[in-house]
Amino acid sequence: MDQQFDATADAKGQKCPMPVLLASRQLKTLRPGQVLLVEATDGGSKSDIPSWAKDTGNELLDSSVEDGIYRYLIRKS
Amino acid sequence: MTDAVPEDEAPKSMTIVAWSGDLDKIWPTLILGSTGAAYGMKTTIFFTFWGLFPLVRDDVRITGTNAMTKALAGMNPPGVSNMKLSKLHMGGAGAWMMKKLARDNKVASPKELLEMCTELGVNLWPCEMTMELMGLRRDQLIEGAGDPVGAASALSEMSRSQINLFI
Repeated sequence: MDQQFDATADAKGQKCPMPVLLASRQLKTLRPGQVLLVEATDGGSKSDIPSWAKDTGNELLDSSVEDGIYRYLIRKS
Repeated sequence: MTDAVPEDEAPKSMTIVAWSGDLDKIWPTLILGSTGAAYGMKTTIFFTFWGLFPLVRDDVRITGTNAMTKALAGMNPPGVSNMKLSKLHMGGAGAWMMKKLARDNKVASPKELLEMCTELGVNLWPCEMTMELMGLRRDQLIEGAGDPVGAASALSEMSRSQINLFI
């Protein structure tokens, strides 16, 4: 994942529902078109973050996992 | 944020009636409420009867001015950090173990979730009638609490919500 991002929501170590809450809080600070990186270790984020991004009308650009850390890139619409 | 999603696809509004002050009910209520707001839904929690106690500040010990409201508050301390389990509370040991497990597993506490609810803009509506019943004052509620309302306001909000829960 070498894409640029404008802000990070660090939810590592936190369980449901914190990754979505922290991502939402951080996304509010961005302007449309900017990209948010969400980092989480909670396995529930695998389904939660993509569905949250879709249902709020934002675009999930990429998701990956490395060393137990899930990373999601979301473009604010 | 939800504007990009067609109206029939994503819910716009959720109302939860929190009637219970039990830890095992208020905890999921706060998880769903905060997540609803994160989802961009207009989210309202109507705190009524025993459900109002979590909206009282943790440091409030005595509520009301008569012997019964004071005794009830003494037996059942209000405040989101003081809620008891409905089963196997075991004089506090059950709730303590549950909170310790949660802390060890980095699960957010009810207090943290209530703060997230406030921060994310969840409407926290205290029930006016319960406040009068228990002799509670506005200044005894947490900062994020809204204006006290009645059952009709709660129903009005529910009639406009796609998701309605009674927990």
